[in-house]
Amino acid sequence: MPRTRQRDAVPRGALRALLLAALAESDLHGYALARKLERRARGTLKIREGSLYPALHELELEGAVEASWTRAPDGRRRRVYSLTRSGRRSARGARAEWLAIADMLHAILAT
Amino acid sequence: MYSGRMKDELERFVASLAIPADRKAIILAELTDHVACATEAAARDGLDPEAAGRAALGNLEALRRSLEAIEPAFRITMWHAVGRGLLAAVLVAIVLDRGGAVMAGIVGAMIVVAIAAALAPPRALDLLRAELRAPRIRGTLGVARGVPIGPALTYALTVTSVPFVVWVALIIERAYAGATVLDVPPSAFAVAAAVCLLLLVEGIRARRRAAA
Repeated sequence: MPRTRQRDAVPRGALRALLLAALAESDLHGYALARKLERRARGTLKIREGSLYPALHELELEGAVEASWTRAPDGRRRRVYSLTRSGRRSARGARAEWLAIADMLHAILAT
Repeated sequence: MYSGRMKDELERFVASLAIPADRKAIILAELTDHVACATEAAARDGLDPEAAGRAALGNLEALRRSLEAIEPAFRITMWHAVGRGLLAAVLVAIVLDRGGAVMAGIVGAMIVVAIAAALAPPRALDLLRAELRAPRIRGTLGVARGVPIGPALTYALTVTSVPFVVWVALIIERAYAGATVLDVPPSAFAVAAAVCLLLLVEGIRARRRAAA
């Protein structure tokens, strides 16, 4: 199996961590957020709307992100997400936790 | 911009979702923007915008399942949860206080747990699960770590604690009136025990899911 196979099912906790990490860098709307993560994954990841928006809304419910309305260049309404203070703490925690998991998996599986 | 046919399809899909009306407007605006972004990007790259828009929508039934699981929770605000919690708590306190001997045992316990469950906010269990899955954060005092308290946990804490406040107030009032005999039936702890058990089970499930 090629190692660059595109994944379209990200574990729930990992998707949360990815969304928090992307939003820690800049405020983004859903489409831009998905494309940013896909670009960062160099084509190995495809984020589906079926998981993207529910995950964002779950983070919103938890108070980790907040959304505000802006307008796209053609005037359509656009919802932009940003991290709250507790979201920034969550982002740091999730990043550390998933990096540790990735290190552990790499240590076990890559040998 | 994407075609009118896709726009109609998207509007029909969002209209058919079993979620609060105000959330439908938000979902429609978000998905409209998402599909429009995808079609614009495809047009820029010389690809088929219609196909790109359709691909951006993805599996609508999977999206429906996910949205219908999470969106109803937005209907519940903290004040809504506090209000329902207070109502349930006062009812529980009065029913046990006035119910006599029959309410002291298992029947009373079942009735007050049923009251607490019946007055819980809609989809409270889904909301509680979402709250328990939230990453642990350090509290305001910086001493302990825990999940942020959302509406479901607010309801649980209110319905658990307020009956005891009501009973303490009744005990004090009756003591002033000369009644000094105190009777604490086991059913007084039924709601607290049920809530603790629920939090324990769902908390363990949430930790297991997070670990998975």
